[in-house]
Amino acid sequence: MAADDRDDRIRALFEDHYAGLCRLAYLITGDATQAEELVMDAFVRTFAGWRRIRDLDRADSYLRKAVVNLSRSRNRRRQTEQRSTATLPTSIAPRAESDRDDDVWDAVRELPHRQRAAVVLRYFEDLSEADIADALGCSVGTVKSQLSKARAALSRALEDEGGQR
Amino acid sequence: MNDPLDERLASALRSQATMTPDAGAAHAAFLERRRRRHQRVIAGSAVAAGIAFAAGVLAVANDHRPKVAAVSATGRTTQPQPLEGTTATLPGETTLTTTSSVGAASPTTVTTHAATAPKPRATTATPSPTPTTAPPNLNNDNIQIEVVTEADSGKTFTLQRGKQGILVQLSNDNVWTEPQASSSQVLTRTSGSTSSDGSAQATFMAAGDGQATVSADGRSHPQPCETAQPPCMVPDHIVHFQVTVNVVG
Repeated sequence: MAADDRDDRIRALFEDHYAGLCRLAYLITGDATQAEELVMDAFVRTFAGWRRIRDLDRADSYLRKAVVNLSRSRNRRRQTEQRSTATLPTSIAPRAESDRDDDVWDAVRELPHRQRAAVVLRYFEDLSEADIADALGCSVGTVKSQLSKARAALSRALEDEGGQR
Repeated sequence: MNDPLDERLASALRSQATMTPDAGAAHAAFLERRRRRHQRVIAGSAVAAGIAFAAGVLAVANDHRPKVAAVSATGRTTQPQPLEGTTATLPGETTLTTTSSVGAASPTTVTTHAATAPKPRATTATPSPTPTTAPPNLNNDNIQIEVVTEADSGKTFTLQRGKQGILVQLSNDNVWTEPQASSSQVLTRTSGSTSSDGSAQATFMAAGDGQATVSADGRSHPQPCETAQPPCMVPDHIVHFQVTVNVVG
């Protein structure tokens, strides 16, 4: 593939997938600024090895996988930082005012990273369990397990929320 | 998604995902980051290449390094040699005794020359190797000196008559006798010495066509009781050093 063709393809990928990937990253991380940085990192890392990617039609899949992996890495780093600064306020960006009452969103944000990612990929990206497994780098059985645990946790949380009201 | 929870989840996530980032600006930022990354890769490659080149140069230099380290270990290369027939004590209580000096070269000159001579590349292969050495300074800048150690024992060297010489350096691993040439017509000794630490050295010039051997005997350092009367033990080992030198016109 010529350099011009490659650049045109990358530009098209930005136009087609950048916004969607940012939304995905935001739903996983809960931080809009971090989401954009994360997606940019995913593009840079993915297309630094562009010549190694043979199936160009799956570039969006590679990018999605990169976003999930990077979000996991950053989540671990953030957890470490929060443990070391336990008395400091959390670094998670505050939600928009209009979203404060969204119980479901609150409950989703409380899920562990892997379950949250699985939920977002399943209910926002509408991916199959096999595609989720590919994005998370795990087995389909693990995806089923994570989704089941997530749903159970969400049900409990929403019941609690309902009971408190 | 018939479950009410599923529908609530999908709805909640969609309502949250309202980001509308600027893909064009992001693409421009991407191109800039990729350019910087490319520059870093090029710079890193240049640094790596530089390091590899420097390592290669060092390796080559080390391969051609003069045997100054081995000679220095005996503490003699930087010290002035005593006059013939005298003794001198060097740091580390090493005593040198010169025994003869034939020809124009003085012992001091020989020693200085040994420090600049490269490691010999001699082998036992036939035909005999021709030493390739750095130019010496034995009162004649055209004379080259080959440094030979006990590690070269058994090898054959070929020297150019009147243009090359051989410096035998035997370490203090053993107590050595002074190296001797089998033919003074072929190899003329210009200096020779033994040290109290057991090491020995001698320099020979290629004087006439023919073949000669240079040899010396070494033995293990004596144990304390070995010098008693009567001695209580014999040396652990006795070694013989010999190289063959062919001198050609």
